[in-house]
Amino acid sequence: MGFYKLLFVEGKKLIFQRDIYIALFICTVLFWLAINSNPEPSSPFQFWKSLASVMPWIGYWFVSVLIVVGVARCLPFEREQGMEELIHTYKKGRLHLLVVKQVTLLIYCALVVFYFYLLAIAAYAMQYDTGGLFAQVRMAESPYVSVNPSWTFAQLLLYEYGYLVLAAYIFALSILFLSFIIKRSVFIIMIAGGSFAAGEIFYFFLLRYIGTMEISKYPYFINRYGFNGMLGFNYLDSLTADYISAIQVYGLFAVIIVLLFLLNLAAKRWMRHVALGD
Amino acid sequence: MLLWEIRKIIGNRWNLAFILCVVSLWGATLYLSGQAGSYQIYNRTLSFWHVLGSLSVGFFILFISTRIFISDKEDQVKEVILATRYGKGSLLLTRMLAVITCSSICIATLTIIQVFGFILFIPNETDMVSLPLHLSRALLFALIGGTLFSIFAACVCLLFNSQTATVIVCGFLFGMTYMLRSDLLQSYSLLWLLDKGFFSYLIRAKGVVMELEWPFLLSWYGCLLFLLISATIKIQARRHEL
Repeated sequence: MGFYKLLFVEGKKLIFQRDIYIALFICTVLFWLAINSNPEPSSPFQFWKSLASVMPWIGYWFVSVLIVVGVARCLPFEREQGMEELIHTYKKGRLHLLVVKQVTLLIYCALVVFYFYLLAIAAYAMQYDTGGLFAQVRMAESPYVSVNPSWTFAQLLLYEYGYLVLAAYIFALSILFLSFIIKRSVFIIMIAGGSFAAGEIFYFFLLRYIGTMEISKYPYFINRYGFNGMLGFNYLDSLTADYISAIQVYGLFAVIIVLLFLLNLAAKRWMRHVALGD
Repeated sequence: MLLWEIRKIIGNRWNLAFILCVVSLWGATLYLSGQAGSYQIYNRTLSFWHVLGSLSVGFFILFISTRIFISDKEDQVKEVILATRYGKGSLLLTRMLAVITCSSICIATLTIIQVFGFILFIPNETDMVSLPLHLSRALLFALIGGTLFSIFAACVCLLFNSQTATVIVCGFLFGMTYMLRSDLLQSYSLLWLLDKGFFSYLIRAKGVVMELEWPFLLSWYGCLLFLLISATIKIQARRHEL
């Protein structure tokens, strides 16, 4: 089976999972309720300002949930369906299959992020005037991200979209690595979702108590630049912007992705050798 | 039969990690609260069920106890189990009872951890006087909430026939109360229902006694469980699993 045909088959296998649609339905309802719960008064460029802020504010939670649910079943699917033996006989080897699975995940991440932006556009278009796509960001800068103020809103949103897709893909590849060690999808969800939730609980609850203590700087750093911070656009806030530019962030993410991609392939190869006993 | 099912839940290897995790988190919380004085430890003990206790109960029910409803399918012994001697309905009832018993055991264990932590960090007799009243009230609500949520999760698991789907649906509904700010919500609105209508509000035992909307909430809990149990029985029967 050629690369594109296999990509199509893997994509079909991924998007036909019922669990993703259950999570998608719940996330859609909650995201819609969150956007409409506290509308800000209308002002010039409010539509674009809100759109640029929605993902760093709350959207990344829902993106993370869908990434966890989708990726958690990506590898254990064959095992849980009892067709693992069939995969062992695959002509081009399982490494080729893993490459395809990882490419499928990139497409999945891009689709999930696109869906939530689309939902936000629909929700905000009902509240605000949509004019000003090519106005400069300095006219109404987003409080969450710090980018070149001469960028237009179109550039900012395109950049944000790419940023979130890359961040989500890094998260997805890490969960995929986890699924080499943990065999059941529900426990992958538990550990990946739990670690993400723990990061949020740390930021919103625990930091209030230990924020002034010396020891808090280590977990704070991990939270700030770990998955939570990455998905929550912390790499683009004013504190980080002094050290690394917006374009360099893309480069950094690309390096992490390549490393994780290769790490997953190496892990799979190593596990095959362990299974064969050589 | 009931004991056998209970042993299956208690024997889950995640239980030990779960208890160790709760103990260490609770110990760290009390230690950090202790930096601000003993009164802070007392307050923290009273609010045990607000975050750590309630989340632990939710975790236990969703990841550990509900698994018995799906383990037959995963262990590929479903066909054998469906031929059970005393009827599949009896088996379902036994499992429901096992899940309820285990959630009660979990809540009792968490209460012991809560009290033991308090005694370890603040052995002050004056503070101990009002503690049993607060603790027993919170324990009562946690037990009621835990029981109802166990039944709810079990029904969802049987309906979807998947633990992953159960974790997603029940996890979201259970977790809503941590994301919403109850005091800002309008009574009887959709967000208010999401905040209070799915049992985590009871387990958290935060201002539950002051609630004025009790008649509505009780009817909601009753209707929700009645509909869910009826749907479960009907769909189980249609699948010839009863």
